[in-house]
Amino acid sequence: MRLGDSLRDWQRVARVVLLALVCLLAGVPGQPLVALGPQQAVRSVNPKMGVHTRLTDEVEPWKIKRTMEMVREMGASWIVEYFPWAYHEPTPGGWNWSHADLIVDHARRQGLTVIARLGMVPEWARPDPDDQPTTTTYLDEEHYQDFAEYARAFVEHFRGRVDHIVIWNEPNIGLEWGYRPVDPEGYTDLLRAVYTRVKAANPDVVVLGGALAPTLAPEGDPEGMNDLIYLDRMLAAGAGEVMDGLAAHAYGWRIPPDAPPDPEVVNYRRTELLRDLLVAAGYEEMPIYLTEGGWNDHPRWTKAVQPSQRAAYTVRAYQMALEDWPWCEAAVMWAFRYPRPANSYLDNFSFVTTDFTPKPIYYAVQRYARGEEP
Amino acid sequence: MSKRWRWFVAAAVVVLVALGAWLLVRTLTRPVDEIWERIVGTGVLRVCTDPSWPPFEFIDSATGQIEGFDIDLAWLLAERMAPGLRVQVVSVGFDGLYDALLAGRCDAVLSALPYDPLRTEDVIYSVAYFNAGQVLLTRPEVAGIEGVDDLEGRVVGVDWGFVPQGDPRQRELLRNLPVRRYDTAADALRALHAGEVEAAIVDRISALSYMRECDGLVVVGEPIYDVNYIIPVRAESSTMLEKLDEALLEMRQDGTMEALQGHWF
Repeated sequence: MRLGDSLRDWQRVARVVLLALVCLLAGVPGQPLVALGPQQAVRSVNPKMGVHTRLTDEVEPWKIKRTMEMVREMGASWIVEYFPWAYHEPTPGGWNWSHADLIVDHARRQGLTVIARLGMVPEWARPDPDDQPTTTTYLDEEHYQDFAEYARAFVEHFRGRVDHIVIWNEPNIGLEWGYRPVDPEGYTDLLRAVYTRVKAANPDVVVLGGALAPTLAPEGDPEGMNDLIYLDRMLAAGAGEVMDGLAAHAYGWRIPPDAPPDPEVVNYRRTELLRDLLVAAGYEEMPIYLTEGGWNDHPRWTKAVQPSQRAAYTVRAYQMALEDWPWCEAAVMWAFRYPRPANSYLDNFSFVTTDFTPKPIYYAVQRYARGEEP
Repeated sequence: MSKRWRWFVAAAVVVLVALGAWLLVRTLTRPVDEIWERIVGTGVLRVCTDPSWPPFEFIDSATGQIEGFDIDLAWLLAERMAPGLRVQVVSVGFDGLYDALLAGRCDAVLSALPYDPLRTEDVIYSVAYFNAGQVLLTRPEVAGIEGVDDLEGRVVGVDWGFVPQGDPRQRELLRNLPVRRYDTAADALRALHAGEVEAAIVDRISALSYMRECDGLVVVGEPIYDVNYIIPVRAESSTMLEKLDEALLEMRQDGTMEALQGHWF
């Protein structure tokens, strides 16, 4: 054998080995482009502080991570996030948790506690649109068990990572009840179906019911029902036995947080009236979680306040939840950031802009959480 | 006639007949807009709105009625779309407007609603009727400001919620401006008026509302960022959308739209 032939043979072998190595490396699962990073902890003078994130439609992982980092840096320990049934079970039994995992894992890595709001009915659980056009909040009784199955699958998948779930959102307004007449007893049946299934799967999960929209609408109003009347009827229908806590929405509109509660007024302390109903029904030990609330500072919206008022009211509201409401576990304000601008007054509920620029309220809350002077 | 010409004429006839047949089939098989037929049948156009956004829609404290730019526009459109058509206003919260439309509680939404490309699978949109985007203002005596590019080195007033908008170059330029932030857009305009800043960037509604009350400020050029208000209807409302667009374009051309803006701003 000549020297040239031997060299060519070695070159051939080297090429084969290199190719095999490339194939091997291609098969190794890659690391995520956005790493979770080291475990963090929230530092805050008020462990009840929280904020509702809006990451359901946020595609890019770095934005999810940045959101959670900024929530932690602001000093909030709790987040509420929406986990739509239609996204996670697009076909019956066809589960997809990839996006939800991303949100939960980033939140936990930043030291945040997640309250999961469950809702949004997939097309397959609604009537044929040719027969009856419906919205994603329409769920008829024959599909209650399907929703309960979603909730069960959710708590099982997130066992040890998500310990609080909110069942439905604002069922006391027509918009959120599929534009059917609102029905406290029907909602209680839904709550019961979910509670039974979820608790069998994971008894440690805290099931929150209610999340009622604060409204003065009278009974019979097609748009909704007064939240106090609705809760009263829920409790009469046995809701207190099928929920571990009450989720409440506490918006202040133009009224300061200290203004006294009044059944004829929607304000922050209306939460105390909900609490009174729980106590009257014998559920004094039942905690309340504020899962939405706050003020808006749009210059033209008729229910808005000035930005400086909004900042002061929000800080005060967090402090009241800490000092005055021992039965309140968390005070979560609406909303940290929107994935894209609404170009409307809704943008003025947020704490940071779509491009993550903090608004003055962000810094005001951060100073409060650090125990600094306002 | 030569043989070649005869072939040419025959081919032309075949093409014309085919085209005519296609047009006939298209017309005959076009889906009927049942929503528009019902509107004409009942004589009522139902319009969803969130009456919390003056001057576009708000509840008049004296009468308790919903009034505003959009309500007037709805009546003007209705009359042009089908003479004698009446408007029924349905009050809905802002975040429920699309659902209310899709659930059939109204036929159209008129509520200072910006165009949303993510909704185009569910609804179809009219042409724009109002641009509420950001505008640049200055005082007439301030020289040399004819556009965003002239703002370098100038002190510009904005409100607290100001976010630089536009293409990446414009956003970068606006981001690096020495802006002075004010509590509200009106405060930024008052500061411009008082000479604290040389220019201001605010949304067009705030600008028009302020200029209605006070002289001495001018809007420079076109909006530097567009936020177009449109009217969504359900995807199957094709005839209704044609009529809406026709009426809107007509109103734009004959000065009705300008007069309506003049009335409210």
